[in-house]
Amino acid sequence: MIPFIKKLSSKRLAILVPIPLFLLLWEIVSRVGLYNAALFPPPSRALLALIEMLKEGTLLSDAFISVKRVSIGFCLGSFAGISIGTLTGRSKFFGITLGQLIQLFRPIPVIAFVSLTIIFFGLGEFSKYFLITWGVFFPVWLNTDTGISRVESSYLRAAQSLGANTRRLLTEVIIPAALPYIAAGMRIGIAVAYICLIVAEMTGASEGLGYRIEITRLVFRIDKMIGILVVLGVLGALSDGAFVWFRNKLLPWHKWI
Amino acid sequence: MDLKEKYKMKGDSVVIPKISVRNLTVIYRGNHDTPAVQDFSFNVPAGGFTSLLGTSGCGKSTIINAIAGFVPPTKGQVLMDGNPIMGPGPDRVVVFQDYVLFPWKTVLGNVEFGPRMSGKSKNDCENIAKEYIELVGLRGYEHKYPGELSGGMAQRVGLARALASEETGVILMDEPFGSLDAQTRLIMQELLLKIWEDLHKTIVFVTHDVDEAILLAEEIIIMTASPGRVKKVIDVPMSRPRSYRDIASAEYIQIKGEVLTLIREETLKIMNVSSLVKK
Ligand SMILES: Nc1ncnc2c1ncn2[C@@H]1O[C@H](COP(=O)(O)OP(=O)(O)O)[C@@H](O)[C@H]1O
Ligand SMILES: [Mg+2]
Repeated sequence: MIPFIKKLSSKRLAILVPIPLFLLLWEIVSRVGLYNAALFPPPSRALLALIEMLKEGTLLSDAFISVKRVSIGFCLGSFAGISIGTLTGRSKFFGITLGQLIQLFRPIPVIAFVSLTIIFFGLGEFSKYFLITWGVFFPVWLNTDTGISRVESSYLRAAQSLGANTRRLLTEVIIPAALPYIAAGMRIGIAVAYICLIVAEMTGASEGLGYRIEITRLVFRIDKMIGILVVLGVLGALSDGAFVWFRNKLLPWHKWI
Repeated sequence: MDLKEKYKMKGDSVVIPKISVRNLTVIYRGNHDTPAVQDFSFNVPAGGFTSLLGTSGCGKSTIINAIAGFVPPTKGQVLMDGNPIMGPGPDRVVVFQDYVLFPWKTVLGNVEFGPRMSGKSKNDCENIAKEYIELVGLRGYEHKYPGELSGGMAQRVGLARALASEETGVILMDEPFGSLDAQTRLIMQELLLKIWEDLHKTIVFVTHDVDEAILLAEEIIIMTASPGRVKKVIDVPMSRPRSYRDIASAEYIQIKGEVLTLIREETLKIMNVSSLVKK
């Protein structure tokens, strides 16, 4: 026991302590009864609620459909953002024409589009994919456009003097040089995708984590609601962690650019 | 073109300079009053080693960039093998002061860039690249990224990358050793001397370091401070192969004296101007 404690450096303590401590304080504050326990359930109750939803079968199916929506929307939005960002970043003509059009739509919050999306596309899956794709597109597009248009001219000169033609310049120099920017845009895109997911699911869905939050509100099961929030937090953190892991694997040089 | 005719008319055997800069004037946009380079002419024979020596801001990079095809002449011509240079191309490779290695490519990926652009097979590219990586003494570093290298190593990669572009007859070097420490620079100069003596490339070498110019070049073109003009062309007849020991020879010391006097005149001009501005 004592050697184990000795091994815990201050850094490890800093990693291990905060979350249990937070949960413990929350548990205590909730149980002391300062506030209505039905409105402010302790984490142990939220855990039990999660187990209950697991047994009912809703938790896994909700999480599955939500992750599916986020993944598809994220991929479509990233693909569109990278393609169009490369175009607007590379071509002066499209940079000005398409660029200003995109800049017009970019500041409008996704939530403002929900009603229109439902009117146009109905309540089916397509509306969800559309909203998430729409949201993911902007940060990925902006970062791609910036990264592509800001490639240092010295790289272009070096490549041209080594014989690169226009096509090789794009594939060998401009896109690789912009990859760290693109990756940063996609990372923002992940967070945006979850925001759009919940927006879409809370306003016209019949399954998914956002829909379940709405339902728990209606039936006043705050413990379930908090349980789902925890699941969303974990999913978001896992997605981000996985993305960073892949980026570091695929672009080991990203920190030197 | 008329250069060819001129040589023919003289009845000599046709010797066209590898690089010929003729009355080159470069004026940058938004800088109409002071040309960066004015009425600048010099020739570099095939296999020659010419150094451009001048104070900072006198237009050395501008001349290199004009030969590289990065910057168009405002007036005058830049010819290679008697033909006007229309843009950058693999027949003239540049070695930059700040290396400009591609950070997303490994050492191998950087060095095989030239061969790959010329459409060689994957195997050939790798073999050529490895040969030059070995030549600059970086075997074992093939799979490192530029970000992991010291300045001296990075510039050896820059040199290997230029040499691996094997069709290249001309290497343009813009203060290539300017950001290296004195010891590393000396080794790099010796390495370059050996490579030039072995591979018979034509080299235009820009520097503001007097010793570097004398040690390396066959001919030194001393430039005036802004706008850059040819102040004087100095022959360096010291025997080959040269080494850093030649720095102590009588011949070297005599040339250095002459060069220093000329460079000092130009430096003083700039300093005078700035002191006037201060008043
Ligand atoms: N792209 C540019 N646009 C405008 N002025 C430039 C540009 N590049 C260089 N100059 C100017 O031209 C002059 C010569 O510059 P440069 O050729 O870089 O000199 P050096 O390499 O000898 O230091 C300087 O006064 C510099 O400020
Ligand atoms: Mg310069």
